[in-house]
Amino acid sequence: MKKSRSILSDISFEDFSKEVEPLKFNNKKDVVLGLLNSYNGLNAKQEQKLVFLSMVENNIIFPFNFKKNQYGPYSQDLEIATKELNDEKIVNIKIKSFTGENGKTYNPEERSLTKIGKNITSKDIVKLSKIFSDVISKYEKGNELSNAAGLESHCYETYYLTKEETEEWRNSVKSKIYDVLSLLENRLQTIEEKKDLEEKGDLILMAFDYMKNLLNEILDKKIDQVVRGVLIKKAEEYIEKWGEILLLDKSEGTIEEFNKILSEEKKLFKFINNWATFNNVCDSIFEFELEEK
Amino acid sequence: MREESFIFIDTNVCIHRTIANIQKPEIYSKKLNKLKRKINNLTNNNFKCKLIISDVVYSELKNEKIITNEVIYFCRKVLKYPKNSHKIFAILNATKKSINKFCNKYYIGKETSKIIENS
Repeated sequence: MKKSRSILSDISFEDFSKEVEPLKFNNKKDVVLGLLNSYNGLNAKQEQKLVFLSMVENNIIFPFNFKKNQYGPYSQDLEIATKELNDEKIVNIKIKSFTGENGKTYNPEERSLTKIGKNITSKDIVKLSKIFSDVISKYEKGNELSNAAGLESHCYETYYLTKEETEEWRNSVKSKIYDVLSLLENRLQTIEEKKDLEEKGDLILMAFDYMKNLLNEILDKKIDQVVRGVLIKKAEEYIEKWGEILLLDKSEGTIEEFNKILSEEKKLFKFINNWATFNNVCDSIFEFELEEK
Repeated sequence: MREESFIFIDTNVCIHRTIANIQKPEIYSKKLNKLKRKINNLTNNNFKCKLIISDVVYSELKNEKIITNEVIYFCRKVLKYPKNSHKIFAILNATKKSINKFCNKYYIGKETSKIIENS
């Protein structure tokens, strides 16, 4: 009987274990400039949500720590960076009052680039601007960017956030984590059944063990809603990505398709690890300190 | 030990002393600490000898599969880590990162290797 082909079994260990780094930007002000370059004139809430969504939806590492506040994901460092740019006359923050449908007057601060700001450019700012443009186009209706409330409710729905932490909400989040854990257990069994993976199988199972440990860690630990919500969402995405890899492996997928999705999986894994480490949920799996210099 | 002594280090010793240098108290075992002390004595030149990484060991240390196998084996057998523990993954990543420095420092190259063998 002809043995069916398996890319996962055939791919060399070197190719399989090659590390892939997610995009990373360390300069806080570059991120603000990149965003305002792609959309000049955002209020504070839009700025916060767009930076957050660009980061988590694209698995990009930004130097911001997002926590849950009244309006959803919020980073104080991002606010500080924008205010500093305002002091440096690179960004202009001004109050732009308007009356809402309910007759109330709102006074949000609008952020836009000054003449000086528009002339500042660098490779990273251009790259960031492109990333933000893509994300903004996702949240545009017609030619108008979704308002702050729209972005906020999207964050609440997608990342399991709530205004009020009730027992019911806590149980629903727990139940979601159990669902993800059970999905992980299924994938784990599939990999264990593939006897010809050798060391590749060991690497996959160790990564799964990390994910399992992480999910158990966020199950009972009291951590911020945004931090936990992103971890649940991303862990789910990671397991689904493995589902796609296994499906491609079974079907007649090409090696290029396989490598592409494997590379996405590696970036996602590193993003999750970075997010968990940056937010003190658990130790990094990639950056153990070594005694020797 | 005489001043002109050479010590050829094998692949396992290179890997184990790297693991011993990972700053994670839980992974220390008596065996690792002993090895670490020995290598430190040698590299600090307390015994006036020269450490050498030969061609064969060098190519083994550059081989991802060999490193992976050795680290997994060591973590399971000596450190008694559960099979497929994510802790092994973390040690493996740190070992891969760190071993290159040590390996490049003591690798003597093909030519010198032959000279020593023939002397």
